[in-house]
Amino acid sequence: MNKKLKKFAVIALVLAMMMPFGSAVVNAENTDADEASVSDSADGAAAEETSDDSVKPVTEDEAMAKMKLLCENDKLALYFDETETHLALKVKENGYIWWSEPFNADAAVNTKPAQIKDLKSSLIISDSSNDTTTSSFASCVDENAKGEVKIKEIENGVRVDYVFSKKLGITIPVEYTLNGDYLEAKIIGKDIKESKKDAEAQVLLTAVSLLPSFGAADNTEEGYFVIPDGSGAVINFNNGKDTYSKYSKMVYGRDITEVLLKKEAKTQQVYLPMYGIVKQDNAILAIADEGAERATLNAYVNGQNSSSYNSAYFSFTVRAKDTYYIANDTQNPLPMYESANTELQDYSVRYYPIAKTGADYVTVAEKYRDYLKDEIGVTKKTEANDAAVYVDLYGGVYKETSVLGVPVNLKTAATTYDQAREILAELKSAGVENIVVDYKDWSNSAISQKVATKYDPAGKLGGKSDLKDLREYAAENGIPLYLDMEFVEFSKGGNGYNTLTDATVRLTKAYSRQTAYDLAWNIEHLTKSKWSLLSPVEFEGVFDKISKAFTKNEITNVSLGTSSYKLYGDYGKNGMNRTGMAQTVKAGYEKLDSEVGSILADTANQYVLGSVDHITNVPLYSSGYDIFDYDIPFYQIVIHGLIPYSTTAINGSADSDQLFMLALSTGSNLGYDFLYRDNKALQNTDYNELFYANFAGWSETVKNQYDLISDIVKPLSDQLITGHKQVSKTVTETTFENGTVIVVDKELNTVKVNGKEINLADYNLKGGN
Amino acid sequence: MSEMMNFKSYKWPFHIMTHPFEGFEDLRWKKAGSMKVAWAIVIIFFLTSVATKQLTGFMFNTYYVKVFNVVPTITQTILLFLAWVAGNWAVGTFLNGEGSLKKIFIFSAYALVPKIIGDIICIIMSNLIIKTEAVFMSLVNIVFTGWTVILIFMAIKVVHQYKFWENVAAIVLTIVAIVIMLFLAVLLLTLFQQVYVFFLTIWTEIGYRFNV
Repeated sequence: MNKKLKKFAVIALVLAMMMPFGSAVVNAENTDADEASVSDSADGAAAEETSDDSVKPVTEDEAMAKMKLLCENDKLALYFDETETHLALKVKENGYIWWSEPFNADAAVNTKPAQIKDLKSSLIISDSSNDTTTSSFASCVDENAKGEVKIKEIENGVRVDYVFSKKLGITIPVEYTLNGDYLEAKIIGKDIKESKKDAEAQVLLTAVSLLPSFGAADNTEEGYFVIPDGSGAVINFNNGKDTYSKYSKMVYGRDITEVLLKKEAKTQQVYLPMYGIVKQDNAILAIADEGAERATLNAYVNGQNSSSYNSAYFSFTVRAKDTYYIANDTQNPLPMYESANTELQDYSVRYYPIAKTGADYVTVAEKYRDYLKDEIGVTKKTEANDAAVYVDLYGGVYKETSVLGVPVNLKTAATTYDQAREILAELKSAGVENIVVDYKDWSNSAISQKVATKYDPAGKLGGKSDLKDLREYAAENGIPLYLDMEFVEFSKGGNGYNTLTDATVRLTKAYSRQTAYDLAWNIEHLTKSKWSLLSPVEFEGVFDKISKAFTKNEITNVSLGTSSYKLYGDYGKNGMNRTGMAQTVKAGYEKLDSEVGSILADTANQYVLGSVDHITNVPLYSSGYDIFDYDIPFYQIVIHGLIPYSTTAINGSADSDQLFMLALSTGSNLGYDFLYRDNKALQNTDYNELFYANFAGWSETVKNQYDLISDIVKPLSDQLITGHKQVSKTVTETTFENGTVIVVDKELNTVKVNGKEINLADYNLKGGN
Repeated sequence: MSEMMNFKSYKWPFHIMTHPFEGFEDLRWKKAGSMKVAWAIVIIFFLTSVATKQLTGFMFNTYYVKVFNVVPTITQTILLFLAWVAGNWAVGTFLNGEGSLKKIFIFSAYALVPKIIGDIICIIMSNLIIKTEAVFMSLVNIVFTGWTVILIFMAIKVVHQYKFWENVAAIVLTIVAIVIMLFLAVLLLTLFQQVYVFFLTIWTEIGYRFNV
């Protein structure tokens, strides 16, 4: 027995020792297989890279040889290539050709094949089947895309129906037409087919980028993009900023109906739906015409998109998106899109090529001015030899006060009507001749945060009689007094509107409750109450009521609060999307312009520019993204001499010296925020941020600044800006229509007008460092 | 003895202050308690409490708020006092006390007088003394508050005719009764809130279904 056991134990031990060898053999086989497969893919990768290097770049003439002339007029000629659906736009004046897709995309260096495919695409779409990763399907004709195009020549151009793969079932028709001095690319909304719209696995078109590489510049070209972010900014081609994010901003600001969980970074808004591309002696102005309200402006440079090209383009949000958190679980967002049955509108971009030696952003601005005059109805509202001080007065606000010991929210006056008259009188007697006043929170409705449609002077501020005195004083002294009617944001029901039935509803069917954010943590504020947005469906009625109230009381000046720059959609049952709201606001402004008289806007989107007579708080900076190379006062260059405007409040600026210099260099009027009450009394109210606005002691400084502005800016009030140059990082040179040249040094705080230096000390202002 | 017969009603609190151990017995036998005076004392107690919060010198004022709210002060003085009276009367029913609600109210109110005087002295002192002299303020506070505590003890003993340890039990149980009252109030408020939230949720759900 013992021996048998021993034998058995020995054999078992030996077998156990064999096991590691066995597994080693098995592993070796596996690794052999792995190595084999690895080498395959390595070969494959090598094959991909070599495919790049093996393609030789073609010359433009060779590329043009493949193109067929579609149509032409005396300024432009449009060429088309049926095999790859590429367009070439030739400017007859100097023979320069703008390509809809770069003709050397195949030979792009440092560019992945997927990116090359995108570069050669006329459309890049996003659909709802992949919403965590917005995967895009290009449309260029390529065996792997499993799509096709249907081409039909039309009058003055061509219509291409892009049929995306069977899996998506989406067809998008685009019409390319030549009209006078521009090329228009228009997506025909009603002919967009989504065959899987009602399928079980629903696939909806959510966004489409139109001609995403139009006029793209390769890694050797010199030039820049003009982006109308805030005041405006320039992105140089190949500026080496490939470690920063691409630029992507919604035109007219994001849809504020969607309430964000966290406060977003403070940035400027894109007020104009356009961008410019400037190359050597040539420039092109691209304007989003139809669907501008749904457009997003994008730009990227060499290295950012895994490609060596630089491009700027518009993408359109076909279906708006919102995020729903089931049971408030913020870890599991559920994306929701606009209904599958939304009627899709047209989306179009116009490309205006400009041939000019030494073309720059001013060239783009001049062309854009023509568009504003012809298509938006902007007329010259400036007068010659006119400079003014733009004052924003703040009437009253709610403050928590102790009444018989019980804390109550009471209306508290910040500037009563009599005090406003005192401020104006003091400014006038100090020598400020021209003042334009925007009186905010002057009415009962405004202070109570109701929808303002009536002429209801607040009792706390002096009542009807005091306001009448103020208006008479303003009229006698030639001071245009604009009473601000805020109806977009409201927190209480009143004047026929309430938060239950007239507030904007989100895509998720919840009310859009606008929140204040905590300054420290950027999350929702824990104690401040929320407010609502008035549904744009109600706007027509509001404009009507305001018109009636103002004409009845014989008031000819009106300011319409935040409606001049806020844009959003109401996605409730009887709602209205952004495009509808823009149209309603535009029509409303036109109506008030003709019925009431004069309109003042606190920053303005393009669609109201035709009806406003003054624009205040025009920004002098852009958002300052890392991808930008430097800021330019593009907005100012466009409207100077056309519409009178002012800067943001200089007394509220963190760097008022620099703001003053920038204002001088663009010939801008200065803006101020004033209120009468001591700021200590307004602590812990909504006027907390106006700590700088107390008027006492300002009249002297205002007068000194006004004197200097008068001497420099006044004679230029109706002159267009014809030249603007960054001579160096701190010195800018501006040329006006009548030949005046202003050179401003931001660092040394010096100003030279037509070569003659102005000493700021003569005006009792700080000069030099 | 004879002057006691002719004391005006407002003189009694001071007599009681200076004679803590017999004063209440005298008050009881003379049946000289006056509701008017008692209410006046309670109101003055409330006013003094407000004054403490607002008028104490900045060096010693721990009650800083941006907006003065009188409601917590009312709760801490008048409501607390009423709760004490009601609790004590409730406890008295099962400890065989002889005091009626009115008597308990009057006797307890009369006992508050030293505290009021102490608070007033402290307010005046706090505006005059410096930080290192704060110990005097503490002294005044402790002395007068202690005095009031003794008076309340005696007040309850006399009004219910308790023995010493019965009295201690009564006071402890009164405090328990106050805590129970507080608990019930909180419970009631929470229940109201639950009802409200319930109806609000139904309303919101209906709103979502019918796309208001």
